[in-house]
Amino acid sequence: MGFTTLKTFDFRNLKNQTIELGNTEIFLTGENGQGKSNFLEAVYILSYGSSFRTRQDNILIQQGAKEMTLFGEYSGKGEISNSVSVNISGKGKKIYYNGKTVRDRKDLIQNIPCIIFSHEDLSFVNGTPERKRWFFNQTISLYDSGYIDSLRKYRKILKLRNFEVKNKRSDLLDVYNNQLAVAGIEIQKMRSRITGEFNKTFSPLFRKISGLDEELIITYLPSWKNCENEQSAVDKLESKREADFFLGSTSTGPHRDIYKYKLSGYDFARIASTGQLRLISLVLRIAQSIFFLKKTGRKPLLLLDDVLLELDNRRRMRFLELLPEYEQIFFTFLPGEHFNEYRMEDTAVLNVTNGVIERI
Amino acid sequence: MTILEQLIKGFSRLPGVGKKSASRIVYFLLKADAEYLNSLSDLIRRLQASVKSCTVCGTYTESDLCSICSDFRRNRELICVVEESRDVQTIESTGEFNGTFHVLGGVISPLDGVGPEDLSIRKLLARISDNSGEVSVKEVIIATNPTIEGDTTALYLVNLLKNSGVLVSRLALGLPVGGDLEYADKLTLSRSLRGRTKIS
Repeated sequence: MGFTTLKTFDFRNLKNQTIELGNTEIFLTGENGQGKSNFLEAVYILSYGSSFRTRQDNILIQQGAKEMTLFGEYSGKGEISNSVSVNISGKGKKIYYNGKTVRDRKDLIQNIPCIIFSHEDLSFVNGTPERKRWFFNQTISLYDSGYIDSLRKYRKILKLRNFEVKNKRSDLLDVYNNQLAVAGIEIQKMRSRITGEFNKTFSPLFRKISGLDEELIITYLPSWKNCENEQSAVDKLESKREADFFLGSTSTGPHRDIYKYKLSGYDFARIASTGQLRLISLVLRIAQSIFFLKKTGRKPLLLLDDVLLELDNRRRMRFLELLPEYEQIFFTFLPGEHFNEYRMEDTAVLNVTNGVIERI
Repeated sequence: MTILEQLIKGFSRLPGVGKKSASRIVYFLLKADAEYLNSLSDLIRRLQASVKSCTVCGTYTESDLCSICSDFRRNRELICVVEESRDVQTIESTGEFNGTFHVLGGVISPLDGVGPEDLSIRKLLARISDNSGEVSVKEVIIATNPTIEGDTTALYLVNLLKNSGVLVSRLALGLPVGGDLEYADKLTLSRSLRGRTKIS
C-alpha cells in the first residue's frame, strides 16, 4: 500500500496541509519550483530520517519558522497502519515510529524501504569513488543493518588511526592497524560478495534496456588488493606506514575502494555518451530495487524525480516496462507532459502549485 | 538564589539525575530527620579525604591496601584488568573470581585526550615483572568493555604482554545468560556466532 496520509508543517515551500495518498501510483504535476521535489523529499525523509538533497537539516525548515514536522501513515500490503513523524528544530531532530522515539535511523530504514531515482544518481557512474561506494553501501544497508554497524565501526577506528598518524604518534598504531584490518576485511568481503550477486541482476537488465550486445559488468577493486585475511591487511597498512605519516591520513583500506563499470574489459564510464551514463544510473536504481526485493521479499517505495523527462520515447517505454515491483510509486511531471499515457490502474494525479498539493 | 534552588541545581549535576529528580531529592531532604541529614552530610564531607586508590591495584579503598589486595587467600597468580573501580565491585558481586584486580582508570581514547600513558599501565607491568614476592603472575584477564576503545586498550595490553611469558585472556563476548535470542541485537548475535564454542 505505502503512504496513505502525509502531513506537512513548515517544511520547505509546502503549505501546511494533509495530503491523502492511498493510491499505488502517485503522479505529481506542476511547473518547476512549485514543490514537487520537496514533496518527494518529504516522503524520503519519513523513510530514512534524513534528506537525499542536503545534510543540513535546518534548511528544511520553512523560512521564518522555527521548526518543521512531517507526519505520515504507512502500511505494507495487508499490514496494519504505522505512523512515522520527523521533527526538526533548533534543538535537533526527533524521529518517532508509532509514537516511540527512534534512536537510530537504521531502525527506520528497515521499516519503510524507499528508493529514489534522481539527477544526482549520475554521480554513481561518473562521480567520485566516494559517491560510487555510497551507492553500494546503501544497497547493502537497505537489507542488512549489520553492515551499517560494520561501516560505523570501521569509520570510528579510521578516525582514531588518522588522529594518531596526523599527530605523528606510533605507539598505538599496531593496535589500530589490527582493529582496522578486522573491521575492514569484513566490509571488503561483503562488498566483494554483493558485487557478484548484484551483477546478476544489473548486467542482464542493462543489456535489455540499452540494446547493447555486450554485458556491462560492475567491477569491485578493493584498496587492499589480494588481501584475503586480516593479517594481510595489517601487512598492507604496515607497508604504507611512512606514506601515511607523510600524508597525515590512512592511504589504504575500504574507504579507498573503487568501483568500475566495464564493457568488454574497458572502463565504460570513460567512453559512454551522456545518455548512456544516465541510463546506467537508472538501471542501477532499478537493479537496487529488484535486489532488495530478492533479498527481503518486500517491495520498496519508489520515488522518481523528473526521471522520465530525460529519456527519449522509446527508452521511456522500455524503462516503464522494466520497472521493478513496488509498494507505491511517485512520479513527477511537468505540465506539458502527457502523463495520462502512463496512467495505470490505481493512479492518482496531484497538482502542485506554489506549495499547495491538490488532487485533480 | 535561595538554598533550595542552589541545592536543586547542585543535585541535577549528578549523573542520571535531572532537574525533576533533583527537586524531589531536595524536598525529601527538607523533611528528613536531622540525624540522617547530619550523618549524610558528614559522609559526603569526608568522602574524598578518606577514600583513596589502593597502592597496588588502584581500586578505591580507605586504607593503603584494599581488602582484596590485603587478603592472602586470594589467588595472586591471576590479575583481572578492569576499566574503572566500579567494575571491581561488579565482578566481585558474582563471587566467581578469586584472583586480584587492576584498575586502569579509563580506556585509551586519543580523541578524548586519553593515551596509554594516562592509564595505570606502567603499574600493571611492574606488578607482572616483579619477581621479588613468592608468587608470580601467571594469567592476566582483560575485562575492558566490548567497545572500540575497550578493544583498543585490550589489544594494546596484549601487545605489551606478548613476550612477558604471562597468559593473556579476555572475557568471553556474546549472548547474556538467561537472555532470549529474540531480544539480542544483531551485533551481539553476530559476535556470538563468531565466538561460538564447541560442545561435543
